[in-house]
Amino acid sequence: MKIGFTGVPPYKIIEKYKNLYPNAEWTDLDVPIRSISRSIAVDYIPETTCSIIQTIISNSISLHPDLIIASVGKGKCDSMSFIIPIIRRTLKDAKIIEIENHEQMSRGNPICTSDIPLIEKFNLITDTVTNGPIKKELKISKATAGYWGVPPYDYSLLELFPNNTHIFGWTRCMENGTPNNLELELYIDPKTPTVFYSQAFCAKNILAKELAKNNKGLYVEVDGAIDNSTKEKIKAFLELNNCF
Amino acid sequence: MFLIDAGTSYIKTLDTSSGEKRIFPVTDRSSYIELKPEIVTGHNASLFKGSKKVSELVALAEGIRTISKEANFIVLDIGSRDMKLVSFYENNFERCDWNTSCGAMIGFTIELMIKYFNKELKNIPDTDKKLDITCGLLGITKFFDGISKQETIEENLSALMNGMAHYAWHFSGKPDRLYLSGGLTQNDVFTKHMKKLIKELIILDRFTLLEGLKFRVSKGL
Repeated sequence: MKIGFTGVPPYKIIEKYKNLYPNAEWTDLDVPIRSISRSIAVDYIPETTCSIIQTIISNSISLHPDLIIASVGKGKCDSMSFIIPIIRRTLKDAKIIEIENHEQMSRGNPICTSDIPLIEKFNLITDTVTNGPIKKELKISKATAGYWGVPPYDYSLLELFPNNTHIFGWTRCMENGTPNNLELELYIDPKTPTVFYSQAFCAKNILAKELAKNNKGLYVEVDGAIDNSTKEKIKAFLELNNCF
Repeated sequence: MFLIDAGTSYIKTLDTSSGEKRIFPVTDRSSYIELKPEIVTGHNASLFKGSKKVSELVALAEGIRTISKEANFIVLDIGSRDMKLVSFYENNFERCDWNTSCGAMIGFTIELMIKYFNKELKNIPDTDKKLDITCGLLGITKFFDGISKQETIEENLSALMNGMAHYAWHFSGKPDRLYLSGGLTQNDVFTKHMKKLIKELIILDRFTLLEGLKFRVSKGL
C-alpha cells in the first residue's frame, strides 16, 4: 500500500490510515525526489506554476500512490484544488481524499526555536505531519536570524543560515499543527534579521514582500533550484546583519 | 596589495600600493586572466582561483561607508547584470537588496543596443517618453515595437534608458536622495533621466566595490 499526502492534513486522518494500513509506505508528495523530474508536470499544467505544485503532480504521476490524502483550502492553496481533477484523470484507480485542516489547537514550536541546524529543523517539522509533535527535548536558542516561509523546494538554501535561526511563517504553522492560521503565519520577531522566502508564482509572495519591506528583512523569490546570485544575496544579508 | 572587482562586463583592478586603477573588458580575457589578486569580488570572481572572495553586497556596503560619513543614506550600484542596494540608518546597516532576475541585464542591454545601432551617447536626445520595462529583454521588445512605428532610434534608446531609470528608482524605494555607483554612472543620458526623478543624485564611479575591498585590507579582515 502506497499512501501519498500533500500539505498538512488533519492528524486524525493520518492516524486513521496509519491504523488501517500499518505497513503502508508514506510519501510527502510536496518534497522533491531526486529521481523524479519536475518537468513531468509541464505536460499537465503551465510552467508558471509554483515548484511545489509541479512537484506534487510529478511525484503523483511517477509514484502512482494507491491513496492520496490531499490538503486543500486555506491551509494549502487554490492550486492544490485545481490540480486534483488532473491527478484523478491521470491516476484513475487511485483513491483521492480532499480534506481541509481547520485545527486551531496549538502544538507549540520547540523545533522552530531550537539551536539545531536549519535543515534538521525542517526535516523534523515535516516529520511531525505523519508522526505528530516531536517527543524529544530541544534546547531553545536566542535567535540571531530568521527564516519566514514555506519549506523551500531547494534545501541547499537552508545551509546558508546559522543554527540560531528561528523559523516563522507557514512552516511555523506546520509545526504548530495549524496550517490555516494566518495570525501565526504573519507573526515575526521584528528585532531578528529575517529572510522572507517564497516560491515563485505563489500567492504568498504578497505576504513575503510586504513583511520584508516593513521589517527591514530580505525578500527572496525562488523558482526551483536556488541560483548562486540569490545565495550570495542571502549570505551578504546575514553577514551585514552580524547573524553569525 | 592587488584587488579585483570582477564584474560581468568589466574587470576593475586596484593596486593599493600605487593607487593605480585599471579597467579591462571581459572580452579581452588574456589581459586579465593571469592576474593574481589577494581579494576579489564580483560575478566573475571565480575566475581568480586561490584569491579570497568577498560578496558584492558586502563590498558595496563597506565601500560606501568609506566614501560617505553620513548617518542616513542609500546607495544603488548598477552594473551590467544586476542592481545592488544598501541603506544605512543612524550609522548602522539598515537593509540590502540585490536584483538579479527582474531588472537584470539593464547595464548590458543599454551598452548592447548603443553598439548594435552604432550610436554615440552624445547624440541621444533627452525625452519624456518612457518604455515600461522590468528587465533588459522586455526593454528590447518595447524598443523594437517603438522603432517599427517610424519613431527614431535615438529617441527610443533614450526612452529605453528612461524606463530603466524609473525601474532603478522604484527598486531603490523612490528616494529623494541617492548615491549612484557602478558602470552606469558613466552614462550621461541615464544619469540625466535619474536626476529628473531624484532631487539629489550623488554620482560616484565604478570603483566603490574596490573601496570596500581596500577597507577590508585596512582592517585585516
